[in-house]
Amino acid sequence: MNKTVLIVDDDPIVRFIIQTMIHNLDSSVNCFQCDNGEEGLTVLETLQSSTHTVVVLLDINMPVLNGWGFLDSLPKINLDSFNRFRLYIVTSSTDESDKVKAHSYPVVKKLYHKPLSKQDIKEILNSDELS
Amino acid sequence: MSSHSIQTKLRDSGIEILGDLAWGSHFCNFFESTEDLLQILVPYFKAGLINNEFCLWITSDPITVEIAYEALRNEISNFDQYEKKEQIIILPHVDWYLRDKKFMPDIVINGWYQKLKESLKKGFDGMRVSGNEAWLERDVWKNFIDYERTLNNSLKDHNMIVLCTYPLDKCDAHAVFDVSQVHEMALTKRKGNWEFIEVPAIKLTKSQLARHKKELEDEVAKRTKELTTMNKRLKKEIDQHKLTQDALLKTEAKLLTVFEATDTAYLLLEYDLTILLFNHRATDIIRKVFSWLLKTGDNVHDFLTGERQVLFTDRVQRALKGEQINYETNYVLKNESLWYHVRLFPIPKDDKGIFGLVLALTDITERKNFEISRSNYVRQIEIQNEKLNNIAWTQSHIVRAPLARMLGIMNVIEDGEKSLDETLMWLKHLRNSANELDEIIKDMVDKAQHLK
Repeated sequence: MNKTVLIVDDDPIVRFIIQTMIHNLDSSVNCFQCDNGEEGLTVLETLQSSTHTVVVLLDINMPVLNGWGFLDSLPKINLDSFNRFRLYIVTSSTDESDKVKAHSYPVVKKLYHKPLSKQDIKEILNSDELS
Repeated sequence: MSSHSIQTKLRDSGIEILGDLAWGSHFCNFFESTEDLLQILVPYFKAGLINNEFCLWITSDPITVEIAYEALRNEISNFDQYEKKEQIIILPHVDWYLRDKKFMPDIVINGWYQKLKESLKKGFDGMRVSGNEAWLERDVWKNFIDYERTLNNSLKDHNMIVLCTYPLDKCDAHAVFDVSQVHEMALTKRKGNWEFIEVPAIKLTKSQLARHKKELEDEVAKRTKELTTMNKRLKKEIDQHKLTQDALLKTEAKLLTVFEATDTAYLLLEYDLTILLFNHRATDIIRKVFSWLLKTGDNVHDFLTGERQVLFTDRVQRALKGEQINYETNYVLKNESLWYHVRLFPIPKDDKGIFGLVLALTDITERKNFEISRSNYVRQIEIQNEKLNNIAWTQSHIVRAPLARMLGIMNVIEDGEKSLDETLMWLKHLRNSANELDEIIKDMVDKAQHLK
């Protein structure tokens, strides 16, 4: 099944690293890079009718709208309209409180610490098969 | 026997109307009939016999010696025993009054006293006598009345009771008067009824006097006893009162010591805040804080002025309604800051009102200064903690960002084949991130050095 990955992170190098590693594994994956949560929501809305599996890799600390703001605004989007939807937090923070808070959102499938390893990317891309 | 014992030791007369008689009693009886005479003499002698008195009965008409013995025997069941002891002698008047064929007053009087002496020697308490004067003729009347008078005057010091009986039919009014005048008491029994013959001068007989005296003595003894008891009780009460007073004085001394030795300043205030009482500590504090030399009669408003007076008045109003007031107050003087814990509590009156207030001030400057410095210290620690938390957050979010990026770049470099340009590009990003991380670490060290 085709996959579309939204990389929502204010660090362009991080976005580029993740996208490179994804394409090294599977060049068919369609990647969108968003500089903050607001951009992420906008792009996500455009993908509502997509038949792709949509994966969001969400950073927490970002300007304009951070990861928590993105998650709080997510109910505005009809997630049921997606064929498949997965959301992962990808943060450089090792703060325990961030982890606890992330798990309070049912939509968050898992929290990863940066940098994502090749194994992490594989796990994220293959989550459909596992689930 | 002493006159005292004569007066106090009463004898049963045997005659109901007379009751008890004192020794020395001398009374007369005017009788109408033999029955009347026996009705007085038989119980009279019976009482004497029973009470260990020697009895001497001088008979005359209408009673003979034999009749007298028979009457006594009939009345007293153990009369024989008294006769055997020779406790009673009954003689006809001729063998007593007229032994020398002629009435000789001195001989008769001496005869009485001789018999009394003998009877006392025999162990009797005294002598009971009755003489029937029915034999008297007009020619010895005056002589006999003189004898009665002499006897009457001398009897009082002797353990002797004398009853003289006169036949009423042989006595005219003049005779009755004469006889009555020389006896302490005159009584008559006519037709079974007793009557006193009232003679003003002899109304009070010795026995009556003795009875009154005894009653008086009893009353005095009773009152003395009561007084003694009362005295003892009073003494006990005085002792108890003294003990209580001593205890109170000790308690007062102890309280005063505590009152003066305590670290707390106490002021006893009237309803209008006039100062009634205060201790040395109060003097010290008021002088130090208000530069006021405290004295009884001052009013709190004399030295407490301005906004503090307003606040204090409000608190006083609450205290006067029964509330206990507690607060801490600060006075900043020229060289020091003083803190006091102030308590105001009402003093209830017995009748449920409030008498006044107690104002208590305790110097808490030392504790307060400690609390302030501790509070400052805690605040400082909190600030440092906050800074440390910021460092931790920075470490987590800021430091890890370039570090994670660097690790990510290395992951990319290692992952698959790269052209030289690509590798150089990634190395450039790696260099930038390393520089960024260096700046962040420098900044952190700088902040840590300025934690204070």
